[in-house]
Amino acid sequence: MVLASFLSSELLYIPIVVITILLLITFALMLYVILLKIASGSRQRLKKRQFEIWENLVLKYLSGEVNSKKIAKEVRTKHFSLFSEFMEKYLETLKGEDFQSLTYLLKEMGLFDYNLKRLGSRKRWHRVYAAFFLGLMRDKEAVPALDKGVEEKDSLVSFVSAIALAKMGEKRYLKETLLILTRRKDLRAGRAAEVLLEFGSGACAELGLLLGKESVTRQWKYLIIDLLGYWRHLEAGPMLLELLQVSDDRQMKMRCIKALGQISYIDSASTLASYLDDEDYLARLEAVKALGRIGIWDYSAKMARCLSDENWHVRYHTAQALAAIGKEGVAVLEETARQQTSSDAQRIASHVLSEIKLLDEQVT
Amino acid sequence: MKDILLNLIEKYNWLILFYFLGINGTYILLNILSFFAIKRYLKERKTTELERIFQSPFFEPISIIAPAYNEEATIAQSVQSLLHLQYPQHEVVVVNDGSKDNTMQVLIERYGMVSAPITYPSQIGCKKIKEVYVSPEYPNLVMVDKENGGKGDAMNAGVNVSRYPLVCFIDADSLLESDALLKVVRPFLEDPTTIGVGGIVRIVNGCKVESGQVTEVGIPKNSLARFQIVEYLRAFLFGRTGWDVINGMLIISGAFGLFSKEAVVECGGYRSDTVGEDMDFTVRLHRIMREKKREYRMTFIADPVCWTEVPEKLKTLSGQRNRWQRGLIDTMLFNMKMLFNPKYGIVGLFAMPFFFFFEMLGPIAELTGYIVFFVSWYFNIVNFTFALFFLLAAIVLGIVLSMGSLVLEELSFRRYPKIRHLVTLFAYAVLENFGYRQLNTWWRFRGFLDHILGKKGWGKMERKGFQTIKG
Repeated sequence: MVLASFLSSELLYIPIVVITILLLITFALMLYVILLKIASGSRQRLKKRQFEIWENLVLKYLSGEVNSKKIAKEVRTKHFSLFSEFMEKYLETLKGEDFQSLTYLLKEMGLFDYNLKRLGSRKRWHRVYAAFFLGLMRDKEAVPALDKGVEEKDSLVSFVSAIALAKMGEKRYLKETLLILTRRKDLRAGRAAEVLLEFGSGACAELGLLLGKESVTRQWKYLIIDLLGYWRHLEAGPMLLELLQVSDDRQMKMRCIKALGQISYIDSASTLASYLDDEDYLARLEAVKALGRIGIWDYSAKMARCLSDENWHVRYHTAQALAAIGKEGVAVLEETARQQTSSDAQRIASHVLSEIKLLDEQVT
Repeated sequence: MKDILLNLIEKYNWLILFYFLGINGTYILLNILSFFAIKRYLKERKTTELERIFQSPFFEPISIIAPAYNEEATIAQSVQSLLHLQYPQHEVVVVNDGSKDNTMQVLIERYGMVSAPITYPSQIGCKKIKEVYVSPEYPNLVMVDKENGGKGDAMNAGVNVSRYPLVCFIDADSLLESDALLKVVRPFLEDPTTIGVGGIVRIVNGCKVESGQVTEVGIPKNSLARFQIVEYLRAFLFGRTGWDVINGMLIISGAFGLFSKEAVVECGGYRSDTVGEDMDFTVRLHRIMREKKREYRMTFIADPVCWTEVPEKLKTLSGQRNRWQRGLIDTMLFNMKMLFNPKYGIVGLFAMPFFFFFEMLGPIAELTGYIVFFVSWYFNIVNFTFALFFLLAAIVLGIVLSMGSLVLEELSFRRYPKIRHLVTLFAYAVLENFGYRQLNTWWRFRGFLDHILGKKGWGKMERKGFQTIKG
């Protein structure tokens, strides 16, 4: 009867106290949520109003009607976070003189120094946002601090700092940044692609060098191949062709095929054509697309055979590739479409021809 | 004899007390963890420029796999929404799992789909695929027509036919928000060890839908659906988020989950002989990765939204809850060796025991708790007033936890735009404790019994279709 005695009426105050506390918490939470709703509504309205005022001021500033001091006076330090948020859109979209004027304004207001200081903050989020904002400002004075940021242990700070450097077009930091990024185990190549895309096609030569290094992971090599193709870096053609011929990595080969097509590297056409007979339909698909992009007539007979491929996607893209080659390719499609007996090849050729016709009608 | 019975009842009362402390203690912990996790996510989201992701040609393409069984009411809208998702490269694979209605015809007519004998590697076992259809108008749309084999089997068929390295499973009756893929793919970019990500599932009942997208969030008129909104917010916002923080998430919902195809194949795909295929799959992924000593992460993000229709009739809802319970039991028993096994880390030592004792045995504990309460009162073992207060405390704590998820919602995503929406949800967070919760316990208990009796079926889900705006 231990429980019975424990639950004697003298102890009844315990559940009463607990329930009272819980009820109070319930009401407090309820009130808090309603207040949050009201507060967020009024914050949104305030933000909207503030943005409208600032927008007006900034536009006047850009047209020379007001000076930076007037804006600095309007925006108090306590509004720096909100003002930074407001400026994001402008910094991302404006270019040339307007952009220069804006960065001058932000420096005059102390927003640049404010973020530079925050880059050294102990709070992770402050460092992340500071790197992000400095990247938007693209002021070279921030480069040494951002370079340190890339080396940070925290992957997000490192990533955002690298993006910021890339936005500034700091090619001299490219090699170092790449080395740091490729060493990081916590950064997937897909995300690193964002950094490299910001660096732009000027990064191709450096990337090409990395492709030959054994220390670079497979995932990174895939990304580099994709990038070389994306930027149509013609100089990478021979290297990619060699990689396609010697690599025993299926994924690597597929990416090489795609990249060679994107680069339109004519010397690779015969090798690419050999993949039209590959047992993997994805390889046939990429090969036919690549040949379509290169656009030479020499392999059209072999390509035409792929109109009867067992895979619909291969057939469809073959028809499109033939159409892309030009008049000769279209003639092959027309001939196939005229066949008396209904076949996969005939159906897909007719379909793509009708697509082309529709497109032509839309253009004219 | 009476003494033995009384002694047993007293011990049982203690057990119930520990059960109460254990389950609610864990829930409070999950609530706190979720609060910090969501706060952190929202801050980091600020620096992720989704537009850049959308433009990037280097993101791994995604195959969306939507198993469909008798979905003629919603399938066209769902597919339309899937085709127009923002993502650099994705395909939509609808798997018609032997529907008895016009699901397939609806798609064939709407998208001009034609038969295309596509070859595909048969990486995971599934029932016979009768035909594959493609749409000349939408080259990224594929429909697989197969023999009925259950949801898991349909998902496996979809994986076999899919072309891309990431596979996203969604329910064919659900709608993804246009930027959902861009958001859900983030962990794959940030953490190379990621193999699975789940997104939040919200309730579309009461919302307005236009061109396959939710354009106005609202609260349904139906009370059952309202109760489920509170439940879903609790389950996803603090449940999944909290478990994710400690890498102990045991379920990535079949309604919306993104996985590495390699991991799916390695795991052997979904089991077709269970009604809880999504939970079973998530648990098996944990098991296999840990057995292979592979570094991996399965995570949950509360931001990418999948909207789904929930049952508005008692019969349908009871069937669904019964099925969920049977699925849970099946998963627990199938993966029993993980329980309290240190080899499986936090999953074996904390998550599995929690789900086993508190979620799986929960309905038994609750139901017998009510019975023992009256017996104890009858035999005067327990002070009636105290027991009543105890019950009241349990109810109020439940309300506090529901309020916690509403606070999380309002601090973070604020999907319900009006104060009256929140007030309604408050009311239902309170009301659910008086009747709905007990009904749920009963349905789950029935699920328990049905599992023992070997019942395997899915039950019938009635679809109303989305509430569309006439344009």
